[in-house]
Amino acid sequence: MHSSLVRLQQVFGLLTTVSFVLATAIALTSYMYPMNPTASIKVNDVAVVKRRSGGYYSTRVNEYANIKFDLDADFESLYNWNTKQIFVWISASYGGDRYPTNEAVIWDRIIDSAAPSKKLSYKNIKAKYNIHDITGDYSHRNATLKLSWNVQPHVGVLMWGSAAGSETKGFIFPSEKAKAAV
Amino acid sequence: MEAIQDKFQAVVDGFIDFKGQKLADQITTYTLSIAAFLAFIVGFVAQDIRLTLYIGLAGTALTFLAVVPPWPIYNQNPVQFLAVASSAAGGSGVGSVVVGGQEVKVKT
Repeated sequence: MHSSLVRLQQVFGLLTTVSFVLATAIALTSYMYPMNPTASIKVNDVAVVKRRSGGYYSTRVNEYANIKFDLDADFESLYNWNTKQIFVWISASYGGDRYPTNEAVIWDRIIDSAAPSKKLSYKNIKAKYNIHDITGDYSHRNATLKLSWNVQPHVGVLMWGSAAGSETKGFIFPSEKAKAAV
Repeated sequence: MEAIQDKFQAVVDGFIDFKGQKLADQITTYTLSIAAFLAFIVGFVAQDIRLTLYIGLAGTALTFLAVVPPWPIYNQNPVQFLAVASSAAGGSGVGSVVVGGQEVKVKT
């Protein structure tokens, strides 16, 4: 601490330690808040169409599914002083013979902590993303939708989960142009 | 010109005495720790992490300002050097210092 330069280094050195401890303390507080968002999804309409997959030059034909649904969700419990934003998404899960586990995201949204409302209420909205299966064919498989979330904090680790009770009843991917029985 | 250079050098160096160094060290530890603690408490109670950031930054700026420049408070106990006794006594090569109440002979 003899000269100004040494004092500058000394203060900076201690500052890094203090900041690290402070950041750790902030990150740990994230675990104090129970995270139990709720959501309910209702599938209104499932449409399957056949389209060329890879663009203009591709001759391969895939089945694409688009889903219309209602969503009511409350993400209030995901927000605390350390929440920067959350990412929520709805995915469709379905089985299959050759590839038994499939999950594809049909809709997502970022809600930052400055958003005026942490509740969502949508009536009959269209999925943001058309999905298609790896085999190119849905062949009347049974699927469910569920809502998952991811909290991005200011300091600390990402937190993941899915909204309790958000999983829908199973629905069947219909034939092309036919309406799903939901 | 040389006097100006010396003065400039002194400002850049910012030397302080031993007691001043101890004081500066303590001030660094306490202000930084207390600022961080206060920042955490205020931010947590107000549930606003921006308050934590601003209080922490303010505490840091205050610490730098208080400790880095050689303020006069850090130079109140300058080191007292011994007088050059032996050369005055005709270069006998032996002087004496009082250490802890006892007189000790030293070579100079």
